[in-house]
Amino acid sequence: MAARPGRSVLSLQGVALADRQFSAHTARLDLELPHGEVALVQVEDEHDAALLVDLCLGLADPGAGEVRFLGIDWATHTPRERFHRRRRIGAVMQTDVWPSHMTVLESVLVARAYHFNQPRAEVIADATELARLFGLPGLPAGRRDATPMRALVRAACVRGFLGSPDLIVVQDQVLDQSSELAVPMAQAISAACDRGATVLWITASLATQAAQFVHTNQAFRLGDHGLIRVRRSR
Amino acid sequence: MARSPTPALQPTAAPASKTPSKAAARARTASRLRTTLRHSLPVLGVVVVVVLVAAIAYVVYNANRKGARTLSNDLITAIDRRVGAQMRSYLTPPQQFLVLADAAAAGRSVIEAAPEMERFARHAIANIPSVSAFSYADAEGNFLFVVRNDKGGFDTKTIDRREGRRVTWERRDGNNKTLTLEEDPGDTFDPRTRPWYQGAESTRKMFWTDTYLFYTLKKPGLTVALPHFDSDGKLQTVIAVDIEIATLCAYLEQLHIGSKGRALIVDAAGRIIAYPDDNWVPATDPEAKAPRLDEVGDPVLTRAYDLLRIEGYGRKILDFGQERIIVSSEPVRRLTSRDWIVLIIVPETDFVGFVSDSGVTALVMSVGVVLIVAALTGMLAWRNVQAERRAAAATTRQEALETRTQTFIDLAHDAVAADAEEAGLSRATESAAAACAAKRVAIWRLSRDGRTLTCEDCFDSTVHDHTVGLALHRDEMPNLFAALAKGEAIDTAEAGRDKRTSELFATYLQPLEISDVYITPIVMAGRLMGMMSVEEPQRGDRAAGLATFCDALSILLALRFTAAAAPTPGAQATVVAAAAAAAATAKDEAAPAEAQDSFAQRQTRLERTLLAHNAPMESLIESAIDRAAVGVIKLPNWTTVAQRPSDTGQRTAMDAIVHELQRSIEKSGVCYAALLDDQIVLVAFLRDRRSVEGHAMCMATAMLELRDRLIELEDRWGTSLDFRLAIDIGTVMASTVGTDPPSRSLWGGSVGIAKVLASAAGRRTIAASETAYDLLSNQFLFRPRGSYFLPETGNMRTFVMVGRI
Repeated sequence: MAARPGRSVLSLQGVALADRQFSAHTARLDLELPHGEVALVQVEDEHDAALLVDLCLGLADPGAGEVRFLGIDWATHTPRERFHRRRRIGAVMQTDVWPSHMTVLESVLVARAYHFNQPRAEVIADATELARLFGLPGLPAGRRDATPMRALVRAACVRGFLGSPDLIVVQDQVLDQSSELAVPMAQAISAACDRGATVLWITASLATQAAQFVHTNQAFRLGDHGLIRVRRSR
Repeated sequence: MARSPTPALQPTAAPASKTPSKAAARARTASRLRTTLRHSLPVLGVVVVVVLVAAIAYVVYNANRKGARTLSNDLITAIDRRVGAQMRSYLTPPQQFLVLADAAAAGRSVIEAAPEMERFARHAIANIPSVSAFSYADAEGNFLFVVRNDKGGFDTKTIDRREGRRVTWERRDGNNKTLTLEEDPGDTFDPRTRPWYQGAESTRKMFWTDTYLFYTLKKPGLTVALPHFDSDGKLQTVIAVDIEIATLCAYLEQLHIGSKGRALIVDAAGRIIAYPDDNWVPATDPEAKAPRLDEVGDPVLTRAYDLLRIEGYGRKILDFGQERIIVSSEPVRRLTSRDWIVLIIVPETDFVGFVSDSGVTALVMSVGVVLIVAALTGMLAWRNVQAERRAAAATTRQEALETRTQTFIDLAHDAVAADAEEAGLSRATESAAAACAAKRVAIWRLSRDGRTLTCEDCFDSTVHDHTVGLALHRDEMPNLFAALAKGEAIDTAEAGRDKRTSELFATYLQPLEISDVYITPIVMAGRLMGMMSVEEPQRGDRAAGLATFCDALSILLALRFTAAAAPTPGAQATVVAAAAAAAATAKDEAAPAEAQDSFAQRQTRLERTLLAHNAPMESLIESAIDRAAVGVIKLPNWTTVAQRPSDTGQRTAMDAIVHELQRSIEKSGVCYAALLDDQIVLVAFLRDRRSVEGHAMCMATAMLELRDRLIELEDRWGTSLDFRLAIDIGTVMASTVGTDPPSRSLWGGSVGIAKVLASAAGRRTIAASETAYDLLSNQFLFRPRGSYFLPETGNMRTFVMVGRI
């Protein structure tokens, strides 16, 4: 794959994905995601998918190579700088999302309140709009234990897309299995791309119904030795 | 289920699980060992038979092969001897002829002894078939040559060097009559230059030439020559005879050595003396030497030649590709005084091939026998297994029957115990679960109005726990209630696909990951009193008699329910009075208080929101309608209702739906209905706040009616209509549109909330807001659906309205 450094929102260059669960090989990842593009990556093993997400979000450092977000290598940042920088990334995932001591509503709003000086009413309005797109009347007002799983899955989507992030990383095994969310997710991704956001969707299978509605610019499969570009049949 | 939307779960003490004793475990292990041994013995027998047959086949094959090899060695030796004898009989007479001729010539010159030697030669050649010509040369170069001709006579060539050089040919017929006498001045032949002359002179004894092409006869042959020396050792004469080897070649050809074997005669240098072919010629040029074994273009002969050169004479085995070839090379030196060799080349398979063939045949037959034995053994084993299975099945059925008998005994015990109703039901579900080896067994009692099935007891065998209180409403599962009303049992392994249980599956069974269910109606005197559900019963042998058992159990339960439903008159009056009092209290106090709270909360938030938009509530008094009951129907996706069902004439399904809904709405009493896009908005309201409950009831009834109509249409058309409904009670805005006559458009507030709730509702369900729930929960059954924050209302609990209580 030809790398185009400098213009990408997310750039993985020679990144080594080691310690894989079901492969003895270290995969070498090269990926360039420009503004407004959608990339679909099939990662069959959930462990590998989580590793990849951690690399993209700067939560883990690669053994080799560099991961650049908005042109700057995560490795050059201090943990606090990384923390602040991640405010421009939205992540749609289901694991370890909802803290038990606050409501789902507050969990969604708190990040925006912490990082941005945006009126709460505006955030709520944006979140409600997204929640209604994903089939909820509003954001769930209870804590995670008192909220139906259906609502938690949709709230996680709201959380990922809220606040016009520059990069949206989707890694959601529940989403892979849900056909109801296919159209709303495609609409949300399309809207995000229209305003210039970049989407990296890590899915267990390129054939999942949720991914069928999304127009992607690039599609890959994580093989033993790295990312393999694939052609999607539509 | 009364008012609380959450099913009441009342766990009871779980029975202690029994741990199997060590003795029982040992007995089971021993039993499994015996069973394994019994099943594996036939297989072991087959394996032993296979091994024995293979061993016998191997031993017999090797013995046969060894014997065949011995026989083949003897055969080759015999052929060697035969070839030797043939060569002796072929070559000895010419040698004797030569010796006799030499004696007759006695060293005389050709000129001197020619007439006598010619006569002698003609007689000898006529009687010795292997000799074709006679040569007699002296040291001066005089020469006498007698050779057979094609007329049955002889041609005699004489070279006389006494007066120069004179060559004459005298040709005779078969009667020895001279036909021609002619001179040949062009003949330059000099016997002293010929190999046989020079060989005899140099070796000073009888000399055998190589095979070559006879100049005169154009046939392959060889010459044997005998020199004669005087007492001083000076060469006087050389007498030679030509021996044709065509006859020897023919003899070699007719030898049958296996099917592909052949014999050759070669000299020590590997040059071919005789080849097993009638038409074989050593070379086209009479002067050329006979070819070597590696020069005839036969790869086997080339390999044999190389083998002999390296390993010497004897009997060898030559591996040629996949073939093993026997190469026998025995010298016949004494016969010719030269190192001639009889070479026999024959593939080993010509001798031992039949052993392999018969071995294969025997093996195939053995395999056939083994297969038959295996089949018979397998059949016996299978019959054994079947017999065991039948025995096990009989044991299982016996155990099941005993368990069920015990269940009946327990239930009968409980039936006579006046104070043991609740404990009896628990034991009944436990016993039924054990008897049917089911995951769960639940006993449901039908309410007096026949609208609700309430779980009296449910036993979950996986966690050994009981739950009670769950309610199933008829409006929620009309098909299940209809099936139960017929008094028929429902037995389905795919509850989600069975129309009778599909609603039960979606609401109750699917979350428990159960799809296999057996449901027995509990009927007394033709009246449905409840049902017993056996969830995930074990099928197979343990299911034998399941239906009969459940039917019988349902009769017992019906008796129990009947007995329980007949309280003493005093007690009955007390219960009725208490219920009436409770209902009155609920109606007069609890519901309005909750409703007031939720309305107040919404009203406060609405006023604050309006104030933020510079629109105080007081200024909207004229346009706002407080506590209006709003219902929204989100119609199916247009692509699913664009078809024209057969019973609607030429109308589309959507037309029929709208028509049907219009009729229902007209009867419902709602005062406002508007259709826009794929949504119908209904509103029931009056300015008088006191009538809000009536409007809410009206709207809720209309929503249920509309839902049922749409479900009926689904059933009628056999399709799935993706419709959703919602109900909310709250403030709406009213605007007047048009002038003649003016019409009113309702918007904002609860209309928006109801639309949002309808969009987020589940398929075929009625979503309800908190205010709607607070007002209607006394008369209608609701299920909670989560609490959400809506900018318009703040935190709001949402519900699904199931049906009327």
